[in-house]
Amino acid sequence: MRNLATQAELVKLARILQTETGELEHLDYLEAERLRTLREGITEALFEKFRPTFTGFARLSSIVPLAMSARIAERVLGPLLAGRIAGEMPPDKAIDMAGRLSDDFLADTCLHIDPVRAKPIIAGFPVDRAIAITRVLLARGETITMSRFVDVLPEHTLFAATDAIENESDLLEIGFFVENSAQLDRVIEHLNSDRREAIVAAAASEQLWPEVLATLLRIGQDARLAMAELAMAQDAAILDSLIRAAAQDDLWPALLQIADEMPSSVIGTLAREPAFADAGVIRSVIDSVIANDLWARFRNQTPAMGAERLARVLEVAANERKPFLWELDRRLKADDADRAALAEAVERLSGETRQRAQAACDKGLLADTLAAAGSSNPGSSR
Amino acid sequence: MNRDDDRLPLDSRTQAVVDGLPPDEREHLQALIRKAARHQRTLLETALDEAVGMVPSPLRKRVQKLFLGSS
Repeated sequence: MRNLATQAELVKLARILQTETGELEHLDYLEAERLRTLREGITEALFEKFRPTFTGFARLSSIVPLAMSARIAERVLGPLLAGRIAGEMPPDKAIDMAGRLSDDFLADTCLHIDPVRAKPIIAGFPVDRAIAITRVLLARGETITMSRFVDVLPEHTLFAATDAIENESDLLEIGFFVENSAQLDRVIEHLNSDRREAIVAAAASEQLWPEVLATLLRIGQDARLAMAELAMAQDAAILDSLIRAAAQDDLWPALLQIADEMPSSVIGTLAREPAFADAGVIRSVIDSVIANDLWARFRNQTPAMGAERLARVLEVAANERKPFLWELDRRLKADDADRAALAEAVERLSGETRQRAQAACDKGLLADTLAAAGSSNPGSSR
Repeated sequence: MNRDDDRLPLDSRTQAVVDGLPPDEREHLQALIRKAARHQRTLLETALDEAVGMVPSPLRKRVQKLFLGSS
C-alpha cells in the first residue's frame, strides 16, 4: 500500500520547519507515528522557546482596539505567527478578531494553527465563516490541513463543512488523513445513501481504494459494515476496479479482515467477477495469504467463492504457487468447514492439473481428495 | 529578546526519535530545526518592533510591558 500517512506527516513537518517537503525526503522510511512524534515535539518546542512573546501578542488584543489587533495580525504578524498565537488568545477575542480578517488570510493562518490548542476558538467559530474558509482551503487543495481541523470540529460545523464539499474524492482524501476516527463515524452517519454511493464510485474512478480501505479499518464497525455492504452492491466495473487495486496494492489483508466481520461474503461477491479468474489476481491472493498468514480468514471465505473459482485458485497454485498447496494440505482437517468446497473444486480440475496439485501436496487430506477424484474421474477436464 | 542560540530543547520522546536517526540524517534534521527556530525568532523580533510602532503612543508603555521576559 502506498504510504500516504507518512507522506502527509512529511508535509506537516515541513510546514512546521518552514521548509520544502523535499528537504525531508530522507525521512520517508520512518513510520507516520514517529514522524508525528517529531512534528508534535518540534511544534511544542518552537512554541515553548518563545512562549513569553507569543503570550504577549495574545494579550495585546485585550489592551488595544480590535480593529488595531486585526491590522497587526494581518500586516505585521502574518499567517505563521498569527496561527501560532491564536491558540493563546481568549477564544471570544480571537473569534471577534477573525470577523475582521479576510477569508484568504484566515485560510493561510489555518496552515499554521495547532487545531488542538485552538479547539476553544474552533468550537465557537461561526459556521458561515468556517464554510467560507473550507472553500478557500479546498480550492487550494489543502486536504491535509482540512483533515487536522476535522479532528476537532464541533458536529454542526463538521456536517456543514461536509455538505459544502461537493466532490466525493475530496471527502475521501480528507477522511484518509483524519486522525479522530469517531469524527469519521459521525460524517459517514451524516451522509445520505447517494453520497455514500458516490464515495464508492469515486474510490473506483480516482483509484483511491487503498485510502478507502485504510480508512474503513479505522472507523467503527457499524460504519465500516455499512460502507462495505454498499461497495459490494455496486456494478461490475466498480468491483473490477476493487479487485485490480487489491491485486496491485495488496489490499487482501484489509479485505479479508472486513470480510470476516460481514454476514455476507465479500470474497464470494468479488470471486464472481471475471477479474477474479485472472491468474495475476489469484497469485496476488495466494501470495498475500502466505506472506500475511491469512489462512484462517481466507479459508473462512472459500466456501462462498464457488467451486469454479476455487478450482481456478487450485489450478493457478498447481502451476505457479506449489507451496500454497503444500501448506493447505498440511492444514486441512476432516471436519474443516471448507473441506466439501475444496472437494467440489477438485472435481473440476483436469487430470493433469490434479496430478500436479497432488505432487505439490504433503500427504494430507487435500492430497487424498485429489487422488480420490483422479481415480473416480480420471478423464475430467476443464 | 536575547539572541541566544537557536537550539530547541526537545522533550524526551521527540529527542529519542532524533537520536535514533543515522548521524547524517540527524545532523540534517537538527540543522532544519535550528533554522526554523532562527526564522521564528527573526519574525517575532520584527513583528514586535512593528507592532509596538503601530499602537498609539499612550499605549506603548503598556504594550512593551506585555513582552517583558521575551526570550
